[in-house]
Amino acid sequence: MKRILSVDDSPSVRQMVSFTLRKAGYEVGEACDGCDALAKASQSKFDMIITDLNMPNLDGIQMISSVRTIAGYAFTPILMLTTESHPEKKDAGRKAGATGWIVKPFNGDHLLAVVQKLVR
Amino acid sequence: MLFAANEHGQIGTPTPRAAVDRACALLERALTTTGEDIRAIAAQFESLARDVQQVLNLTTEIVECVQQDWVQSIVPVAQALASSARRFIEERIDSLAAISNVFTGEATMLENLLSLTTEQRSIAREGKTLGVLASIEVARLAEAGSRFEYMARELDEFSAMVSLGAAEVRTEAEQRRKTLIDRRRKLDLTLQRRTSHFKVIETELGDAIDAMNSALSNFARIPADFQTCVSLIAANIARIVEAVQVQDVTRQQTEHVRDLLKQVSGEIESSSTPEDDSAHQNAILKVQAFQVQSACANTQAWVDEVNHCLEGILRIGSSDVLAIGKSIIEQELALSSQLARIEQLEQECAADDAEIEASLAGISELTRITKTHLTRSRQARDRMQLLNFNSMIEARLLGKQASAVLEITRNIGRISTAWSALTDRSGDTLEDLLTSSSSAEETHRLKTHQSIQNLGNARDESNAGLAALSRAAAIAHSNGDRVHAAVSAIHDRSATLGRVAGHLANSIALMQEAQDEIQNASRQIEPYAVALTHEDRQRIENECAAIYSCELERLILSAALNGDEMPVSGAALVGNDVELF
Repeated sequence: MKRILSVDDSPSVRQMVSFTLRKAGYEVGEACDGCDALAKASQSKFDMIITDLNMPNLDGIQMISSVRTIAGYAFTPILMLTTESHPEKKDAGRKAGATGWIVKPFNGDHLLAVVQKLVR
Repeated sequence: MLFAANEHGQIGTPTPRAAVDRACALLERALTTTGEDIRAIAAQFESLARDVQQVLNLTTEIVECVQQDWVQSIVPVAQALASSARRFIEERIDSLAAISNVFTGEATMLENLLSLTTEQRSIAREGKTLGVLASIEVARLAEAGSRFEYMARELDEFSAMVSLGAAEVRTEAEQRRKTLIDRRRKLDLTLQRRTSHFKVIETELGDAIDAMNSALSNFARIPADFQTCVSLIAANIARIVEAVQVQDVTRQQTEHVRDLLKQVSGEIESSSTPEDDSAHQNAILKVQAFQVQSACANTQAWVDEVNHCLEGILRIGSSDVLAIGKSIIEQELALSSQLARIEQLEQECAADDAEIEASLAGISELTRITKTHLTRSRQARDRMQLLNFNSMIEARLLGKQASAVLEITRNIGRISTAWSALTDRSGDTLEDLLTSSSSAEETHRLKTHQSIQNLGNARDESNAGLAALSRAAAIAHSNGDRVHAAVSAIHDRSATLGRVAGHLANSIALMQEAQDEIQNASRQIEPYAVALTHEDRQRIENECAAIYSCELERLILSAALNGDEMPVSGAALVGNDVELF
């Protein structure tokens, strides 16, 4: 079973992401900010990370840059799931190592389609 | 200073800073209560989605049962059974009526036989008398009479044979007549009973099939309709996933308003005069008022989305689904009961057949005896004819002496002719008896055998179909109970969700009050504000954009500063922009 880490400072958003992915048969871990995500990614391997951008302690872009340096995460798909849609932010995400960008609010079926495409 | 005096020196209107601070506090409270409510909604929602999925799974199982071939085929199979039963009934009645006619015919033939035996006894007596006369004449003729001794013997033997044979046939025929009367009476009663019994079975079987057809139509329709309804609810629940995320957008929007209001409050406090930087402060306040207005509209929009979903859920009724399984089981039992009656009927008809075959066997015994008697009669006829011929020759040779013998001979001839006619009539009667009994036996055997087989096959098929239907009904019944329980749980959870969603109206009220305070502060500052320069606008745009995190906030900022069209409420509900790098 594929494992996905959901990172967002909003508990309700994490719950919605987890609900959507678990219904499709994925195992889901949760982190409340960038630091929490790095700790959890170091402890066990995830097949994909879905992260918000604006979070306290460590934002999404900084978290992506850091997680890419962890062994085993160089090619792990990382999706940014955020309210932000500014081209400058997207560019920053891409340079940091994000695989894709989804603007909230997401439709469950669309999210699943993207996840299924990226996680083989 | 929190409250300023007006031009009349009255104290009461909050100062701009107080209004801004109050707005901040109201937004803080709104953020806290909304956050709590959203967490409660999300928790209930996940359980709700699970319950709905369970209902869908259970209903799908029922629908799949219904779509099985053997459920679809039960009514045609039962109708085929009804046709076979009807044919069986009709052929049975025809056959019984035909057997009854055979018995009637046999009774007539028995009367004929008895009448024949009476005539035969009469001939036997005549023969005996002639034998005596012949003996007297033989004695009278002395030596000449020795040529006729054999005639007296023949006549005696003939008389004895005829008497014995007639007595045998008479005894058997009498016995047969008694049995026949009894059997005819029983058969007529059986025919009556069977006819009315058959009518009842036909009517009740037809009613059971009609009821089953109706129940099966519901069995096909109700779960599928329910499944469609629940699928729509599941789709609506999926929209709640989006609606809950919109709260995240409005949360960020509200937090940014709060942060900028704190900044403005700080600026007002540090201003030495009301005119100091008032244009900048006023512009920011106006933008925040629009941001709060947008947040209120979006919150209301997703609350409406949640309520719409809940209304749909509360409309789900599972009482039909609950009842369907029980209804099918009842109809299945009713039809099974009819099948059991048909099986019992077959057994009773088999018992009737045993009696009919025994009766037909009785006819065989009678025809056997009659055939034997007929053979002997023909032999006697031939001997009498020969005796007659020889007697006539001997009598003519004797001349006038044999006049009495001649007379006896003529009587022998007459008896011989009469006997011959009786023999022929016996043959005809026997022939008729054989034809009617063999025809009835053949018809009865053919008709009953085929229709019993057809009925047995139809009954077996119906039993197999009903067994399969019973399994489907059991699944529907069990799942129906579980669906009903799950729907009750869904209704309870929806009611809880509805109450929580109702709390959100308080949050919206707080935000609207905050908007009023912001506008109040703006109205107080505005008289002192000069017109914004391009640089002022640029500065404000940079300050706000630095903390904004979604396109909606930037659109509102631009519209407020430049007089563009304000984005419509609900714009925050549009997302899903996907880009893969």
